[in-house]
Amino acid sequence: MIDMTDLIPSDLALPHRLPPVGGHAFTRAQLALFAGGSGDHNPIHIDSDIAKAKGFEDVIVPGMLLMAQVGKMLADWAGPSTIRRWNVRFTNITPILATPTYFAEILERTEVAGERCLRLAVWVEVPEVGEVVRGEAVVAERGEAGER
Amino acid sequence: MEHEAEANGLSQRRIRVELGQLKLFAKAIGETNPIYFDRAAAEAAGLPAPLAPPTFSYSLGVLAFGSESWSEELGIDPEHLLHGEQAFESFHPIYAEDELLLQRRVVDQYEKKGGRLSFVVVETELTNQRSELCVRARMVGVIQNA
Repeated sequence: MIDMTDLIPSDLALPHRLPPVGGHAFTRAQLALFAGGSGDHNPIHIDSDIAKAKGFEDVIVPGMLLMAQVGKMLADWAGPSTIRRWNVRFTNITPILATPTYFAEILERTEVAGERCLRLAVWVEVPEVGEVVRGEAVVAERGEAGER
Repeated sequence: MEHEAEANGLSQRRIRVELGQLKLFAKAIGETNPIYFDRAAAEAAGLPAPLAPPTFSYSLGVLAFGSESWSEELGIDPEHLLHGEQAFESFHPIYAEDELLLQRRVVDQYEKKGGRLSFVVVETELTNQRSELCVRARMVGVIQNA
């Protein structure tokens, strides 16, 4: 069901970091599935021979798979169709078998087109290389599943 | 100004949001909430149809245009291209069976590090069958020059 209460208490001090979300290690099977699911068939994500020929140690995890997980974290927390605008930079290569952790920190209360929203920092870390994704998101504080 | 930009390098495609593609995408990203792939669950949640997850609009662009269309237009080898940044603005949800119009243009190109890195910025707007702008997506591609 859609929770129509505020996402955070009105007196919550900001910035406020949400509990990190741990992910499973990225496997070759998942990257193959994502190639089909996402439509991105770039061989550096699914063919280790080609990845090595291009100077990578092995296949690399698609940035959009990481961003999809960030989106899932935000939607699981704030509700479906609540992300109003967001952007990320892919700051480092994510190697196959890396185990990601997803982070979000509420920075401020804000308003977009008359709607109460929260602005968050979001980022992803993997132990092998550190931070691989860094960005910001604005989510509606009262989510509705349908039209905004 | 807007008309000049449209006349210069606007590409258009139409694509239908297929439920089977949403199912495969959900499986690939580990999405277990059935409102994203199951018709009955979506309807029980008050949605008209299964909902596209937040980054699925990027895949609609890839599926509609082919991953290499704009890089070919610009004479860029797609295998030398890295995804540097991605941004989305969302105005309306996208659902299974939506018939979308995708309009794409290169909005910026620039170089850094004395020409060793080239950047290209591609903007894609997704509009549904009710002429509602659903998503404006912006991709920054990075090309490492030899």
